[in-house]
Amino acid sequence: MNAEAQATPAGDATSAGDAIIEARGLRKSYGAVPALAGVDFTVRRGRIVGLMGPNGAGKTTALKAILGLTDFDGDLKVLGRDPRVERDRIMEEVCFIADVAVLPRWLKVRQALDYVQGVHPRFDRSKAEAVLARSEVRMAAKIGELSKGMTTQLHLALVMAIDAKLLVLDEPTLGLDLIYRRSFYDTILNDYFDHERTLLITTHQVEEVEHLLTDLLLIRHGKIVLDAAVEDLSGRFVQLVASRENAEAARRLGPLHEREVFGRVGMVFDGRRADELAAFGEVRTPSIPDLFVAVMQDGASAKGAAAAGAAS
Amino acid sequence: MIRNAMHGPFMTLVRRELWEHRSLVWGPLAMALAIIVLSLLSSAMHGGVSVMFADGDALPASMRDAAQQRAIFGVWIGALIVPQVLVGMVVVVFYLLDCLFTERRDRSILFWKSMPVSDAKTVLSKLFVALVAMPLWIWALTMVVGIAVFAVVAAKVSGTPAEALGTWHGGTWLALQASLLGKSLVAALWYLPVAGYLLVVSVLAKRSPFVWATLPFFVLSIAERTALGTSHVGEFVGRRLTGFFDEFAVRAGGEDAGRMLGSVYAKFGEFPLPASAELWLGVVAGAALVYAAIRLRRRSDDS
Repeated sequence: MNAEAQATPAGDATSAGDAIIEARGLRKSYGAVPALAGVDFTVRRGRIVGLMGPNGAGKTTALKAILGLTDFDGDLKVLGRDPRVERDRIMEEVCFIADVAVLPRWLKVRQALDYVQGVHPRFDRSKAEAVLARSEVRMAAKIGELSKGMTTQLHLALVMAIDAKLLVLDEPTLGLDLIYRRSFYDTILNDYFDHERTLLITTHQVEEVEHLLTDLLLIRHGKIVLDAAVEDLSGRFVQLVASRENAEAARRLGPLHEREVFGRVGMVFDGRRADELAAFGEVRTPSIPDLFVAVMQDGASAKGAAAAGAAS
Repeated sequence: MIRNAMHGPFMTLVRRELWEHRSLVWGPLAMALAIIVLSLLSSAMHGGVSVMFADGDALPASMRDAAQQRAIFGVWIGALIVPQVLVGMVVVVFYLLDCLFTERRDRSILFWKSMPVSDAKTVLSKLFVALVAMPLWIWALTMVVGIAVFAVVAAKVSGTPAEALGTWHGGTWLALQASLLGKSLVAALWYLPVAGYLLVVSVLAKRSPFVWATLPFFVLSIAERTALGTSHVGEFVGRRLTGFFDEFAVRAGGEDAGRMLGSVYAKFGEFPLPASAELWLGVVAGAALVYAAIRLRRRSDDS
């Protein structure tokens, strides 16, 4: 993240008005266990940000802080407001879909529309009805009678009918079968996302969202270990696949992570140029899952390496 | 305009409560229907309520003057109201204990909190349902039950010596219903701390809110009796739960039946509680508890 900040000092100043979420020194502990240990990040308008990390890394806590569901220390602004005291105002322009269906089972589909229409000033009922008309969800059905996939379709229909600035998705496809998972993200990308809107997605199914994301926020042990735009990854990270003989020499350049694949050694470097490494083997830009694994498995050294990379 | 009001944000929250808690609607309605059906049955079988009126000679002499007849009528209507009020109270107590508990247990709180609805509005909508909407609903049902049961009895006693007694005391009835409406308002104030307490338990309990609501008082009460030999805790709780009824209950010691009925009837027109510090201290405590419930709901999620 240091590299980011240094790479675009001017960008920070000019686009400050674009900040949808701004966290500075965000902290939260459960007892003695820190869930967020001083986190800084900014989510800008029009981006699709993946907040990713292993279970227990702090991503759910970060989301709960953003959505006004939990207390925290430090400074956090969502659309310029403090979620601790202005959740209701923030939620006029923020939508949220949580992992498995959290829609109440006793509610009927029609009542769900009535309710959102009654309480939400930016809800367009006809849009939601149009989306539902294309699905198998019947208006008279109780949510408890719907399948998981249909419940998610309903939630998506409600959310798509709300003119919001930020959509937060927390493991939205957990427990869905492949067809619904695909169509979920397709619908969001094709029918919802425009460059005025912002998406914040948490998931540990990295492969599922890697082609959507414009920004990565990787979190581990309550700290951000990588904060980068996807378009900047190729300039910063290099993946090298080298033979065992060449591996020792390459290792001296300080890889973030290495693993052995079919008798060859795969290494991920932060802040090394591809031409420095090309002599040792094949080089390419690591995929997001590769990067995820590299950063997550060597978290302690990744911090140091990231700082070293930024300095070089 | 009324339609707009019914679909405004606050009334939407109220309607949402009734969608979830069907027993709020059906509980009192079932009781009302049961009373009407029972009065029909008892009338058909020459038993029950109507016997008292049909056999005029069985009445003591003191009950035959107009004032006493009116008193009997009043008490009789009152007797129809009491079971309806009790059922309503039971339903409301369980509603209050459930309303901020289930949303956490089934995780739907994550949906409710994703809507632009403040915690204050959420909690106040539940309080409104418990202390305003439900009393009005039960009151409306007592109107229907009063008319229906009276019609059944009137048909039964027509042409008998009890006909005069059974005559519709329309003015008395309306006065009673008006009194009941007024007393419902007083009751809402009297029971505000109870409702606030139940909301706090509902928002805090990890499981079994009913046990959490009642157990502390049992334990405290037993501990007090064991350690000090007194029973202040029990008296305090008892007074708060039944005090409202005490205000117009029968003080029966030594009075004959006629005077007793008269005094019950007279109580319907009295409103002693609003003048008591006890009521207003309770309102202050209740407001504090409701505020606590709002603050606690702000921090509650699905965990």
